[in-house]
Amino acid sequence: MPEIPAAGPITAETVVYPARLVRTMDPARPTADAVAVRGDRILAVGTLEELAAYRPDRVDDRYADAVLLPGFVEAHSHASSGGSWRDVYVGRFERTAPDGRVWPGCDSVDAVIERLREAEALLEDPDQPLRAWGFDPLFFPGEPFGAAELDRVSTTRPVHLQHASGHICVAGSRLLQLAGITRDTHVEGVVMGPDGEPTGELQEFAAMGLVWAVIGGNLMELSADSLRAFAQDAVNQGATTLTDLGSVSLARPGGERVYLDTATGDFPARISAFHFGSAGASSVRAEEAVARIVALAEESTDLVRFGHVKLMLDGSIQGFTARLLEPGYLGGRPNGIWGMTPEEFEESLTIFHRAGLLVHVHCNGDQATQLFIEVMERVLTAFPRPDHRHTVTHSQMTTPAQYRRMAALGMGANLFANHIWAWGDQHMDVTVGPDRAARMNAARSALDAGVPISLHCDTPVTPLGPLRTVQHAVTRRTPSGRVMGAGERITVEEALKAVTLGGAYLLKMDHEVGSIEPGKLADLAVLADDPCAVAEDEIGAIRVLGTVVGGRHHASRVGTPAAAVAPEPVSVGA
Amino acid sequence: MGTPVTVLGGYLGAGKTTLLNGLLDTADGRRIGVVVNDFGTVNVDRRLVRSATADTIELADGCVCCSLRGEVGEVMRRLAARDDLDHVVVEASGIADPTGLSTWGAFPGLAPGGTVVCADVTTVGRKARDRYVGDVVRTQLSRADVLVLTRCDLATPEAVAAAESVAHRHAPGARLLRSRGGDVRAADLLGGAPTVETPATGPVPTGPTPPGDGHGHVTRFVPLAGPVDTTALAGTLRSLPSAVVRAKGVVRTTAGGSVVVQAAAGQVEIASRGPDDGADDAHDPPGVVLVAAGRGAAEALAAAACRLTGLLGARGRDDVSAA
Repeated sequence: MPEIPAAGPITAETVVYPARLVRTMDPARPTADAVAVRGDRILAVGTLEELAAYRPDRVDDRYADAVLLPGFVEAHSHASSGGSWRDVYVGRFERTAPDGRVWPGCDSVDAVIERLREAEALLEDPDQPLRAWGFDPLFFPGEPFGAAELDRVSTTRPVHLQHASGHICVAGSRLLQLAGITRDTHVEGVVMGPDGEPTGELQEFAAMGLVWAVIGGNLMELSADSLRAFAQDAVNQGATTLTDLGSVSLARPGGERVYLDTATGDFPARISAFHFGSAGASSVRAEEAVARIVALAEESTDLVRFGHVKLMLDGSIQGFTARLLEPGYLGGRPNGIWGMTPEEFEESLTIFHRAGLLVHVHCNGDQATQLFIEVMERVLTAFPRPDHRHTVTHSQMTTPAQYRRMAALGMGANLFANHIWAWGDQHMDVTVGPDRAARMNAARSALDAGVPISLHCDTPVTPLGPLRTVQHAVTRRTPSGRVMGAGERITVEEALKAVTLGGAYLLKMDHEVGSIEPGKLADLAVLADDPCAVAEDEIGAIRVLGTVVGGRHHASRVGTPAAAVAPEPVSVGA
Repeated sequence: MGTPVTVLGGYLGAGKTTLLNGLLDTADGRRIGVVVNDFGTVNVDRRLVRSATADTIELADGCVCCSLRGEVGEVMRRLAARDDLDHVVVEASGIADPTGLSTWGAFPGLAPGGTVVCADVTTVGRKARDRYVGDVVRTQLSRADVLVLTRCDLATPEAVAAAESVAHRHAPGARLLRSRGGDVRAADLLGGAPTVETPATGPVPTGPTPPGDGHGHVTRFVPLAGPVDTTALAGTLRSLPSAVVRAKGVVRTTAGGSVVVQAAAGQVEIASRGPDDGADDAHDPPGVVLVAAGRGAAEALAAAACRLTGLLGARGRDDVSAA
């Protein structure tokens, strides 16, 4: 771990911020009236009278009507999500872009077309491709969506729509024409209709690759702009510590620069960038990467942290690519896909573990969790190491028995609570059925077993927004209104702890962030309401006013609820 | 007509890399584009390199190796655009269903070239039953147009027969080839007429190879039950008769450990044995498998076996003199 910089110089100004309520997450003093900040650190928490003893230089009333919580810690997110907002969002549920624009969900195929028409009307260059993302056909069963639908948007402009899965895209006729895709294109994945003509749907990378040259290549490259948008998204949602969980460039010389060069000065979030260590096409082998990642940890700054590793064992449940134990998927679908062989996984985990690094392992299915646990037990037996905090991330199907073993092995769990909302109905009806859906993202079982937890969004997969994540873990309600496993609900206090101190613990930052305690970094979420005082299903709607990161103030760009809902651009009359 | 793309699949450690190296060795004028997950695995050192970049190595004989570390689409499009290749062989990852890559056979400029799957005869039975990866291994086998049973030189005939029955069960339609140290020729694997005449070799017949059959390989296992001095062993392997094309095995050393030895083309590698649970000991008794080819192969084998066995005696004499 990097050495923590000494607390702000003694000459730094001491400012007291009175608030409507301060929720500290510090059991010694759960609530308070005000926070005293000196430099980038919290100096004291208490009543105004108590804080007077610290001889503040001034009292700043800007948060007098607000509720202050520790800045939220998002322990599983992807920085590239910041770049996706260059394109048009057409997902099923509302999302707010980092610039504050609210994109309502598209609840029908017609709504998708309408959204695209609005965006198309704003493009001035007639040849500029129109690109969209986030479409999920799982919500529109039986309804075709291909070139014919995109042609309702434009037949003269290339139109490209990426599915939420990332494994399928749809091209409009103009794009098909520019890419040279015709009835004679015999590329697997180019779907042909009954008339022998391409439908516009391009499945998997050989087929999708046919149109890349026209639409401008791979869109997910991490840039300084993406990072800034990502951090602004955090401000808008009250998060002050983010993760880039799985950087493929970090192990290469210079791969750290985009983080170090961008996240400086008043950059509004801390980012823990994990090395993506899974053996695979785009990654460096563990034995080559480990020395570099160990050395990079020393390059960490107060805003950028290196030195952790992500490995990936399986796919996704809604994509039927997660690895499940018996009885597997509903309807006897074949089991999912391993991200790496058990042998490679054990070798990689051993190498990173022995080097003293923290490892978070993507396990969606319970068979993936089982493998991680069994390998963990062997690795720990051979190479004991106190306080490793290796974490099952997603941990969506982890069983109570597995949580008990994880507790014994000192492992953590970062649960994908947003899934309960995003795909909860599909899990109950389509993927695993209501019984096993009820135990998905089993926060209650994890806590009861003594496993330290956090809750996450995995943006861009689901939107960043820890308050909504808290609400999903507390209510376990799906969009259809059903409760997906009431037995696994946790309390608001437990969920808030999970997205603050819990996340910080799993990132080995709990001594610096995650609670409002004297000596810790002055990272705060500034809220309009107390999450413990509103109805459970209103927690996600609490307005976030902004954040404080290391004593610096950052304002949310999301407008008042009334103003923000109006989509820009104003829809063209049709 | 595009360049045929053959996908090379098989579980981690099944012998894909050895097979690829063998293909490049026996290209015989075929210009093969090989796409691998990792350059480190292709033995480039002993090949004549014409030019090399971070992700592409052009070999003097017209073959080319590409690393898949970047975007697979980018590599495949680059290969599809070339008109100087006779064949592309792309290595799937050890956990992948090779079907995913075979879609590239339909990409403009490329053509389907079938799927070759490697199965290590010493492990495939166990892997096909494994509770974590059994389904993956069975799927990989089922994708094979050609199934290469590898490490036949390191397994007992019983183990080979057992592996064959696993192969028949999961890949009933596949053509079976046996590999001993990757000795499958490009002509057998990729088909098509080579530009240089090569000895005709069909699929390696099942059952023991008749010695000295004029053009095939002959193998012999030389048991080395006692410990051997590694320096003496290396010297012996380096100076074997030229008809002995390969040697591989596991040997206990006078220093107290055990080593894996490999020799090919006059190069000898001796590596201390990696982590091993000993489960394969039944298939892996101490000793060296020798492979000889061409005229005089049988005689060369006998001479080589004699010299290797002599190493045990030498060690014994040392002991006597030391006492």
